[in-house]
Amino acid sequence: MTDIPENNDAHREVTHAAGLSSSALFSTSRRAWVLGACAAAAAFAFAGASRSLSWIAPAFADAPAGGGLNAFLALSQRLTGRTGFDAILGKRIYDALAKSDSQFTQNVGVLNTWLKSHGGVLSDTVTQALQADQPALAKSVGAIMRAWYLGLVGDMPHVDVVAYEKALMFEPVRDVLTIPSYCRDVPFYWTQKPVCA
Amino acid sequence: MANSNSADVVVVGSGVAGGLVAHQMALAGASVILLEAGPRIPRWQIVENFRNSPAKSDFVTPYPSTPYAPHPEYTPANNYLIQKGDYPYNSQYLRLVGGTTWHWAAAAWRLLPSDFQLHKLYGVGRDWPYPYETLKPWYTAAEVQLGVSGPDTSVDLGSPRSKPYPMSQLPLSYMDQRFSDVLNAQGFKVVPEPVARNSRPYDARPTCCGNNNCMPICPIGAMYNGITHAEKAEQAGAKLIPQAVVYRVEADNTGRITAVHYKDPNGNSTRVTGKLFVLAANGIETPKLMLMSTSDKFPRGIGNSSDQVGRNLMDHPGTGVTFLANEPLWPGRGPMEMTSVVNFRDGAFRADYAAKKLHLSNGVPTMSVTAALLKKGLTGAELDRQIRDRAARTLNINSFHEHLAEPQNRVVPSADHKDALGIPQPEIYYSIGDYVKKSAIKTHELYARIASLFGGAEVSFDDTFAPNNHIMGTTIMGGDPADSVVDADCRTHDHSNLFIASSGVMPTAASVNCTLTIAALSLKLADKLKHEI
Amino acid sequence: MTKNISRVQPANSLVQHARLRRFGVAKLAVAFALFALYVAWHEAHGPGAPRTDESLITQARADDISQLAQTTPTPAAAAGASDLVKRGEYLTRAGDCAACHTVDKARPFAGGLLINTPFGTIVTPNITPDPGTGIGRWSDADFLRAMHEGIGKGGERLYPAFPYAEYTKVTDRDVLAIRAYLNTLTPIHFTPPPNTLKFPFNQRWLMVFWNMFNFDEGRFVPDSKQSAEWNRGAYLVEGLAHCAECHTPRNFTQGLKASSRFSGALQAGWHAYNITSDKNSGVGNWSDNELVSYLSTGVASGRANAAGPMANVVTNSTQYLTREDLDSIVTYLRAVPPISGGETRPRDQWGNPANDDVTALRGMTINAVNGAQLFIANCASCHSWTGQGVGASAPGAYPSLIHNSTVGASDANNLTKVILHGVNRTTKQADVLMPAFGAQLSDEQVAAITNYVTKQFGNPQSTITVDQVAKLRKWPR
Repeated sequence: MTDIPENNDAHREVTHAAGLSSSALFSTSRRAWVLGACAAAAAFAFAGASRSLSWIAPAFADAPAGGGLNAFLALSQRLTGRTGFDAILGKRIYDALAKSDSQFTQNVGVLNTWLKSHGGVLSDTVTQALQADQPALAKSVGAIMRAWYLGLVGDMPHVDVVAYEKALMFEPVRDVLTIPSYCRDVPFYWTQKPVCA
Repeated sequence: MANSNSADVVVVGSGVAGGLVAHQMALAGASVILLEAGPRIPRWQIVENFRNSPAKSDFVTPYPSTPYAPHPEYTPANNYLIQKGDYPYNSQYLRLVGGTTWHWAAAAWRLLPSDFQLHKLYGVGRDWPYPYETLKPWYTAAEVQLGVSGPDTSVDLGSPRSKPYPMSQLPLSYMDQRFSDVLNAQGFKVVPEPVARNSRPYDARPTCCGNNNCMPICPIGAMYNGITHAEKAEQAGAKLIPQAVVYRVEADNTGRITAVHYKDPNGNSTRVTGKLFVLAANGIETPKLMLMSTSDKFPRGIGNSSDQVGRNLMDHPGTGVTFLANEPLWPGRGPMEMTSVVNFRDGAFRADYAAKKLHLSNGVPTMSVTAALLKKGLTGAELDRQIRDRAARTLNINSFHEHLAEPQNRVVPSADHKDALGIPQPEIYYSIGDYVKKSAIKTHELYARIASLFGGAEVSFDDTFAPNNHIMGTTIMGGDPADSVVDADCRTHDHSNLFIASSGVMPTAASVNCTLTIAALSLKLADKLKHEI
Repeated sequence: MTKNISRVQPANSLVQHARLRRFGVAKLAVAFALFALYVAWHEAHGPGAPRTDESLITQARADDISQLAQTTPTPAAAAGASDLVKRGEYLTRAGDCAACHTVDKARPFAGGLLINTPFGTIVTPNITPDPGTGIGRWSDADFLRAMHEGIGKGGERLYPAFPYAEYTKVTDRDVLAIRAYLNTLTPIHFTPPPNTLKFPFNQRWLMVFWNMFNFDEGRFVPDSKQSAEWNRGAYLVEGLAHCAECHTPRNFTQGLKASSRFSGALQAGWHAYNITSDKNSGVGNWSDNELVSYLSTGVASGRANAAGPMANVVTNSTQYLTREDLDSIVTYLRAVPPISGGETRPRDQWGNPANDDVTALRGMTINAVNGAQLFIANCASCHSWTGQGVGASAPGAYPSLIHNSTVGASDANNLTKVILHGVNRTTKQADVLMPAFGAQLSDEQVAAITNYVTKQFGNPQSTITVDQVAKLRKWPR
């Protein structure tokens, strides 16, 4: 039934032998490396696949001043660590965010400026850095991330769904996990150990 | 063919129970009217409702409640169920053509023989008026009707079988295989779950492709939904009337049921007469309807001389655990649930505390993992890295605890809360006793042990009892008319032509999903009705 | 064809509208005139076309046919008979007898299929060895006469819905092998319902005139100028496999149009496509392997997937053919002269992925019938919102709608039929079921999906109207 490749047997034996505490025997750093490598491969494979004619990739260095769409896209690149976006989705998200918060466009401009002046702050730690001195901006960052990753804008009970299939949350796992309600392969594909597992 | 106002058989509720009865009776040549309170919504619309839902983890959101036939909603809460007990009974159910099996994980378990004799064997709860053997052929028939795939005879699920499952089991996901291997080596008994989900084309429905959306909606119909038999009933000649909210059951002075009355969404009332009546409106709406139907002759409501209608409300209170395994297992490949831990379903301990079943979730964790990471404020490449790492390693296990039939747990029509048609909302008194709590403490220990078998990190227990929407006991079956509502044929003790097709009749809850038992009881009931026409 | 079917219902047919009766009389007059011509022609040419039974084309070893002369319906248990029976089973599949004679899997070969023709409904007979209701009492000579001449046991003319116009080409040996196999079937006592043909078409003898125009009695004659493979292919395609019956347009007598052989035709709402070697209209741009794969699995990956009646042909017939026979069929089809239907590019060379519709639709409330929304809601779970399919070339994959021979066809009939009735195709590689959407979607919704799919993924000029969908819905699947 389930076809478990040879190389997994070692893990299984270790688990069995170690009984209740096998965690120490599994190399955390090796796991991190494998996952990282796979994620990189996945990102490479799917960045291309999901690209349409409407793919856009403005360079952050050229982030326009103000809070327009292009300024928003430049900011989004910085925050998501991506190099380009689906243009139609970008516009939808921008419009929805601008509609949901009257300060939003203004905050986009301020955030771009802030990021430029904090050139050393990596996108990974933007929220942390902002939370301390500019909580309003941190909130805008959260709203942008939620819109891109979960496809949601606004607060209950007035949440807009701006994306589902193209929400960015699915990209890091696209080579392994389906977008629920869509088939990702022929029946029973799931018996196989994922290549990256 | 029935006209709109009169038929040989009048069925209230078009879910799996009502649909099966209506289909069988129409096939047998009876005129049948099938009344459904809710609307008819096509599958494609539900699929799009899901994709457009801002709260995708709430499986009710693709099925909007209507003012004329409301059902419980939680995101945001519509407070349809009025909670009056120690513990909220936050059950979900759906009111639309096809009923609540539009969203379920398709688990199609049979009860164990011991589940029929809980009192006799362990001195707690109640007994069924007949043994497992009586329901056994109807389980087989139900498995054929629903289309169940399950393990071959090499796996003993504890419920004796006369025939193999109609379909071979769906092959396990890599994670479920690994979970089975690790736990079985430590003395657990992990088995492939029998499911009403196609492992090959069956009944003009396709093979499961693992789109991982059993809840809230299978987009391709590979999983059984009650709509299948609602539609089969119509094709066989039954007249299905949606948006027909039955609010009164009418009896004459001899106790014979003469009619049911329904309101359309505008409040206009229609009287439907018939020879035989079947209530199949689930374990909350059915007793509510019976209790609302008071008259001079029946001041306590229909079928309620025993005062047991609405009482003995049960569910399978659930607890859970979530942890990060120390290896990538990738939940979310295949259907949403594939294996269960079954070695706590029976034993001498049941004299003391509840039986239970544990099951491993195979739902895609991407969304919940991402939402949690976003809450922490992660951005950039680190967010993607962690989504991938956690999606690969997040395991979630849940449980069903066996609930005992206790009369103080009950449903009544609310005296002061009414829906848009002026029909009382259900008011619920619910509590969870020591029988369950004692078992849940041991479940917590099992969770900890399982987590450690996978080197679990960030182990998070959820010990609050979650509802599992298995509404049982409220029209309880028994041999004694003084303390039960229906007899062994699911005929009400008080009314010779009124029957109940529902998990409401179950005298014991056992520790498994009740849908297959509902289907078996419904087919057994239909067979009885064929002899009464 | 059998006696029970041959009984006509004069009582019914004579209770006709007066106008219809006059029309019938006129037809009869024409018929008699034709009959006179036929008699004259028959006198001139003499009976019996050339027979070439013992040609070299049949590969199977010689069997002792005389052994099977006895026609008692006993299973061929004798060891000597088993090879013959096996070959008979193979040939019965090659001839796809089950397509018309097995309606209910619980009653194999017991007939009962209703065939709708412009002249009324013909019901297929029971060909199991049941003596009362099947062909148990038929002699081998009776069986040969039916297959080769279209004449039943009682001397009655068979209707050409039974493809004797092709079966006449099959050697005696092969016909008798089929007979030997049919003899081993479990006899099933079942009388299918009678035909319901309008007068004068319920007059079987009139088939004499049909035969004059459309029937050349006689066994296959190999062409010595062609390869053995070509000859084997021709024998199968033109004979037992009777491909032309669906893939060739018909003349006013419902016979096959000789000049348009294999150029495609409509059959019960389905388009049996052009299978000539034309590069745009036919299968001229398919590779040999793709054609073999299509016939043996129902799939030519990235190009075509068998649905409807062709899925049945693959399921019941062509998947069982040997590689040699499939190669032979392909060799022969390659040599069929190209006939253009006017297409400017091959059916499987249309379409582009849809990337933006799913983005634009999210979170939108749409109340009107919307093709893109209905496609994403009903079809995209398996075919992807891009239309590119899922599972690539794996068995059981969900086909791409781009570069898809059904979606890119110059009419949308088959696409509409697939949406209405689904796909059933069972082969050794995969048990394929696409659900039928007819019960869930209105004609307007089916038309909207179809037109979205052809516009985005196929030939944008192929459109369908709501009325056409309603008509296609009425045909049995």
